[in-house]
Amino acid sequence: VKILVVDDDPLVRRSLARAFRSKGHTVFEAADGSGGLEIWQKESPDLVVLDVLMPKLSGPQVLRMRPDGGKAKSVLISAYTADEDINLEAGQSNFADEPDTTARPDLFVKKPFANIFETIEKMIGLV
Amino acid sequence: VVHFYHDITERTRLQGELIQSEKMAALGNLASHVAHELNNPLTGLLGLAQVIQAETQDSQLKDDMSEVVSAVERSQKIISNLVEFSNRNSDLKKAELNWYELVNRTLTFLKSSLRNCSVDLALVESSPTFKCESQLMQQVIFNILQNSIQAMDKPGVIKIYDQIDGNFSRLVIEDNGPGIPNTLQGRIFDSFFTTKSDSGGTGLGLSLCKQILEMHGGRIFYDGEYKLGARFVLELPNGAK
Repeated sequence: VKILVVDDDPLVRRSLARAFRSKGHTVFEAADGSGGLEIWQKESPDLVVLDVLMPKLSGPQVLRMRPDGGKAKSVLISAYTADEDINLEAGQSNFADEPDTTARPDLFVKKPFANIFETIEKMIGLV
Repeated sequence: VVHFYHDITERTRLQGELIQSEKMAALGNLASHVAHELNNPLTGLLGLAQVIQAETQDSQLKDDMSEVVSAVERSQKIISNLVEFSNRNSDLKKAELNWYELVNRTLTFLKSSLRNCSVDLALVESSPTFKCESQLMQQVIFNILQNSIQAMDKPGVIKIYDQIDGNFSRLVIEDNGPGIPNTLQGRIFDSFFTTKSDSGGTGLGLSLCKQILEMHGGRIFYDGEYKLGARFVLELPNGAK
């Protein structure tokens, strides 16, 4: 599976990338939203994992601008504990209101992950 | 000559409470941001340690990584406790807890302050539970323990135990510090009464504790009969709502 991981935290990126690679997947990495969009366009991954709060473009903004018309499965991940993210988490339904159906994430995962391998299995399961 | 006097006690008390609740709101905000900043690297650290643990054949390194995993999990627990403790608005629903759980959650914040004290814990994990707002009750325990720590100028012993008395669950916190003089015991729960104004004491800590216990249908008192130090008793009806 071709996976794009977009997160501004180098350790989160690295750990996800290593876990995916250890299961034999191909991983591309980007440290911000606009870099992520570029790679998304170029590599057309099957799965895109996006942090919510990132420099340049946020995860939800990247989703709205996705270049593949909805082909890849998408996962939003966030470490934020404030209200907006709690809504966001409840927010499979918030996203259900998103008029552009391709901009709705297929999964929302809250950081910290209890176990990285179980988390990536869940993500891979979407593809 | 006519003199007019206005009793401003109530106004001063309300102002004090307002300041306190604004401080708590600011702290809640700060804690959420700190949690976010720390959760990101901790997520990465935990994930990486789990990957290395799974991949390596080196048993020493496996053990080392398992230590890293435990340390990160402990840190995450402290962060989530801190967020819950400081963010009163996020958790107004009451939880079914007992003193064992509340004290253990609170002690995670006091580890370094308690470095010079020995804590003698005798709490029963299976004690009856009561309904309470956990962050408020943790604040009470935190305040009492902090008072004890500050009062003991040399390394001391803090003893924490619970008791069941009929329909009441009681938490007793004792220290072997100087205790509170008889003459002051009647005033320590009054708003703005403090003996620590020099070091920034507001005199709100214990009065807030009293309000919180009363809000839950319980009480807090100082046991003046105990002569080996200070002894505070917190009492809540089992199943308190």
